[in-house]
Amino acid sequence: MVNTQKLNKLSSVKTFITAALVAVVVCLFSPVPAFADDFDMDRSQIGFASVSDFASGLSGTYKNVFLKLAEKVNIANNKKSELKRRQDELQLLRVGFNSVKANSGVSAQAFLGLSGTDDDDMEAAVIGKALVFPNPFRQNSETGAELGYRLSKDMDLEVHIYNMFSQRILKRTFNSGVVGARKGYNKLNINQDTLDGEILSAGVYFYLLIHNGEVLSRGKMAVKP
Amino acid sequence: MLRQGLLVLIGCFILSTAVAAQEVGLAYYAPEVGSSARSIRLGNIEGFSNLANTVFENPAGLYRIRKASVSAFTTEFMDEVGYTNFSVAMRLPVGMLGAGVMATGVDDIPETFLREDGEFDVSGYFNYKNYVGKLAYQYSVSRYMHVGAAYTYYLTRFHEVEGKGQNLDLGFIIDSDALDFSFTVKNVLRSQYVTYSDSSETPEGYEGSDAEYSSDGVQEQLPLQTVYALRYTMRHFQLFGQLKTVGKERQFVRSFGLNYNPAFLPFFHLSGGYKQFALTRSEEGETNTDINSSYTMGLGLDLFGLSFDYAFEKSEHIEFENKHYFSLGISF
Repeated sequence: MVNTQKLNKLSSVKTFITAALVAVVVCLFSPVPAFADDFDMDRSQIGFASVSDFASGLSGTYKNVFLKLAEKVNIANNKKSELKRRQDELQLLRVGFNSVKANSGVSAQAFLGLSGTDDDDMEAAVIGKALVFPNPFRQNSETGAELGYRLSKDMDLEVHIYNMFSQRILKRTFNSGVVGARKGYNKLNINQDTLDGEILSAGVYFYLLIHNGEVLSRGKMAVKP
Repeated sequence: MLRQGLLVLIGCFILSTAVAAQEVGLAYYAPEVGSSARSIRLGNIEGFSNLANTVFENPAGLYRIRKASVSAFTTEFMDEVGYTNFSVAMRLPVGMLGAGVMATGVDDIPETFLREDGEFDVSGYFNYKNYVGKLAYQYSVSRYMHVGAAYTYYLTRFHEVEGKGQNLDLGFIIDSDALDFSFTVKNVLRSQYVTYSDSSETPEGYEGSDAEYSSDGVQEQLPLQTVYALRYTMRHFQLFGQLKTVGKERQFVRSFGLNYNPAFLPFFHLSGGYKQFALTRSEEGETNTDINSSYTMGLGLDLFGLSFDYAFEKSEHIEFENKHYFSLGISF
């Protein structure tokens, strides 16, 4: 009887911890661009570090509780069924979170105080300078060069290149989220294939990064023969 | 006279149709911008300038200068690319002699390096300079027929790259009272190339080979152009028409111009023009060489041998929608 009461108490503690763990898991995996390979270092590193620490601590606590549980109620023998039950709980909690988000607009990130990472609130911008490496470079080669720039968030983006006569020689549109228009650092290749084998004259060329008709960044590159 | 003229025409035609034996890129050729605001406001019509800048258009046109002339031209594109030219011409006992330099410059181009985190950063800045020099000679076969030739020297420098080349322009003009005809072949020597030297080292992190990075020994060809232009004078109006072959594929582009010189303001000129140009452009991954067009307009003032010209042209640049050109000339 005493064991059953203890088990019930521990079970409710476990349920709470499981809920928190699920929140962390949702936070880690649902905002893909925020924690994908190319995220905003300044903000996301802080966010990731906090969440990571929190998760580590939680994991340790959970482990201790679980071990105590195992000792007291001797559930070692039916571990598999316990795990299965825990998975069901996780699934239910996930559904619960999604439901809350759908009804109230509060996401798991907001619930954990990370609402600032929501991309919709961010201004579309190129962070720092858009640069070509190497500069100068040979366009008439397989390697060519790369145009690198950091975007504040996923956004539709146009890249224009002009020659020294102010004539546009290239226009390329990238839809939000694809390579070239993703949050974080993007690299675009400029080589002999860029103009289908057409060789650019040696000289200086000017590129613009444009979002919704607004020039976010500009730069110049020198092409060697 | 007719036979001499035909011989010149046939000679120019043979030279201009010779196909280059080597497949190389075309060099950037600054005079394509235009040699004066007057020429540009007429739709880039070439060969009918009364000033020294004709050394960039048709060297045979130097016959219009009585004793001497000085001309200067400037414009800037995109707040980045500066164009200037300066030319002089003088009548000598053996004929007319002219010289001119056209310079193009872009400053503060960032040199970059690859950071450890894989992003790019600036390590310094360098400038780009390009010069096209012309040395022209003109001889009048008769009162109506004039021929000329211009030696072209080409020099370009940026970073640790230097390109040098030379070529020749030939010009021919028939001048009658109402109708003038100008014919020019530019960069007629197809065996001549702009040859580059490159002493720069392959930057760290560059994924290609040294040979792929260096442009040492690489050649470009100055673009061969043939220009046929007509001018018809009708009271206070002058009508211009021009056919020009440009680019590797020798496409024909047309230009038309109209100049109005009112009787009550004999020093004032008002002009408009239409011009075509060939451009290789990649739009959303598809690359084509098409004929594009634009309109130009402007005005000119001729006072006591001093000429001032202004030209305006729309630009397709998203930030700099207008191009402005100014030129100044003295002739005596």
